[in-house]
Amino acid sequence: MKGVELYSDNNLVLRLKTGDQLAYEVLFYKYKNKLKGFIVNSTPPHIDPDEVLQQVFIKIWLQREKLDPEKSFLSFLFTIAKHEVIDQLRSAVNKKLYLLGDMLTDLNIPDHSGSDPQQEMEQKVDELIKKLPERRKQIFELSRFDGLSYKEIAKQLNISENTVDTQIRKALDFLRNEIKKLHFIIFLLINSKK
Amino acid sequence: MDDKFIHLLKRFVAGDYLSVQELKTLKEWINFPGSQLKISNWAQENWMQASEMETAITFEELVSRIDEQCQSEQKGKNYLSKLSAKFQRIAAILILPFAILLAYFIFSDNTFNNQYCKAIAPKGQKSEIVLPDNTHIWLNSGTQVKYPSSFEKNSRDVFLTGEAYFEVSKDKHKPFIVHASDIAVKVLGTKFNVKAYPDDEIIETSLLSGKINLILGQGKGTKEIEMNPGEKLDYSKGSRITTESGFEADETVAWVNNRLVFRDDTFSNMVKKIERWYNVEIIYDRHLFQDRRLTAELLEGESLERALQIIGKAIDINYRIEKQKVYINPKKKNL
Repeated sequence: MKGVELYSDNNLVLRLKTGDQLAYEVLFYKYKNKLKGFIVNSTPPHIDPDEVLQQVFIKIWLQREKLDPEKSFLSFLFTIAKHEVIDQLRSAVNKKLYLLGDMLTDLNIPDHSGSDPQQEMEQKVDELIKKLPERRKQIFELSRFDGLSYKEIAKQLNISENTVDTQIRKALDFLRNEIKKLHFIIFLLINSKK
Repeated sequence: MDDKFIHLLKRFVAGDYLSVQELKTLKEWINFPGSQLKISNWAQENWMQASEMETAITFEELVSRIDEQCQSEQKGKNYLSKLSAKFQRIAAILILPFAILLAYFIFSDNTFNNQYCKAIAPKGQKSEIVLPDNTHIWLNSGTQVKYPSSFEKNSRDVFLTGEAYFEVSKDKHKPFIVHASDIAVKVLGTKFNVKAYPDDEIIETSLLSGKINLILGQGKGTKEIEMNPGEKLDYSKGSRITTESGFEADETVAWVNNRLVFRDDTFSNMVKKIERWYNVEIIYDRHLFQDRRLTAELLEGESLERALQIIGKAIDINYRIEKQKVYINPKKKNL
C-alpha cells in the first residue's frame, strides 16, 4: 500500500491515540501480516488465525488511549497479541480436555482412545458444537470448556440459572442426537478396520 | 534447552496428539503464575521468528467487528465479546447500480461514564444506520453522527456533523433530539433532514412529516420554534438569524435516493455539492461565475467526468481532472 511509509510509527501512534481512524488503518495494513505469522506459530492448527488477528486489533483500538508514544508500536502490538494467544491456548487446552474426557460421558460415546475414529469423532463434535445457536454455544462452552458452574455462568451473562440449565439441556440433546446418527458410521469404520 | 513443559506446549501448538494426562499437565502449567515468564519468552521467540503471512482480512471487516462490539455493549448486558456474535443488525449497505459498495464505520468511544457510538460516512460515500430504538438515519457524504450506546435518559440525544436524513420512531416519553452545532432539533416521531456541515455558514432544517421543534440558544435565552411539514428553517451561525421558507422535498432529500440535484444553485453551492458527493477538491477563481446559476439533476452512479460535462453545457467551463482535484476555468470565446 503506497503511502504507508509516509508516516513514522511514532507519528501514527500519536494520531491513533486521538482516535484517528486513518492512522489506525495504516497501522493495520502495515502489521497485520507479521501478526498473522506470529499467531500461526503460536496456536494449534484448528484455531483460525484471522479471528485472533481481528481480536488483537480490536483490543488495540479499544485501548488506544493507553498507547505510550515513547515506546514502539510493535512492542505494544506484541504485548496484546501475546495475551490474546495465551488466552487462546488456555481455551484450546480446555476444549481438548473436554473432547477427550467428559464429552464421552456427556454424549454417550464409547471410548476408542487414540484411534482414528476417535479423532474423527472429536472433529465431528467440534463441528456440531459450532452449529449450536450462538447463545447456546456460548453457555455450553463456558460450562464444558471453561469449567464454570451454572451459577457462575448465570452471573457472568446476566441471566437466570434456569436459562443456563435449559440451554445446556438443549445443547446436549442436539449433540447426542447427532452423535447417534454418526455413531453408526463410526461403528462401520471401526469394524472395517478389524 | 527446552524444559518438558515448553516441549509439551510446542507439541500442542504443532497439532500433535496429547493424552488426557499430558493435557491436564499442560493446563495446570499454563495457569500457574510461575510459568508466565517462560511462556512470555517462548512467545517472544515466536514473535522474532515469525515471518509475514498473507491474510485476507480487510480493514472494513475489522471495523464492522468493532461496531458489533459497540452494539453489543448497547444492550447493557455483560456479554463476553465472543467471535462472530449475531447482534442487532446495525445498518444496510447501500449498493449503487454501478456496483459501488458503500460502507460505514462505527467506532465505540469508550469514555468513562458514557459509551458513545459514532457512525461515519466518509467523504464520497453515504451510509445508513439503525439506532437501538429503530430510528433510521441516512448519512450523506462526510457526515458523522454520535449516539449513546443506549438511550437511558429521558431523551434520545444524537450529535450531528454533516448532513443526515432522519426517520425517527415514535416515543412519547423520550423525545429525540438532534444536536447540530449550536442548534437542537426536538422530535417526537417524524421525517426530516438536517444539513449542518462545519464549513457551511447556514444550518438547514427541513421537515417532511410529523412535528419538530427547533431549539436555539441555551439556558435562559432558549427559543423554541415549532415547525410543520413542508417548512424549512435556515439558521445562520454568524448572525444567529433564522429564515423560514418552503422547500421541495424531492430536492432536499434527493441525496438519500442517490440523486444529486441542483435547483437554481449558485456556482459556489454547486461546487460544494460536487466536492462532497465525489470527494474531490475543486479549484477555481472565486471571483468568476458569481452570477451563474445551475439547475440540473444527476442520476445514480453518474461519474465525475459526466457530471462536469453536464455542468459544462449549462455554464461555459473548461475542466481538468487530476486525481482528487478538479481545475475549472472559463471557456475562452473563439474570436
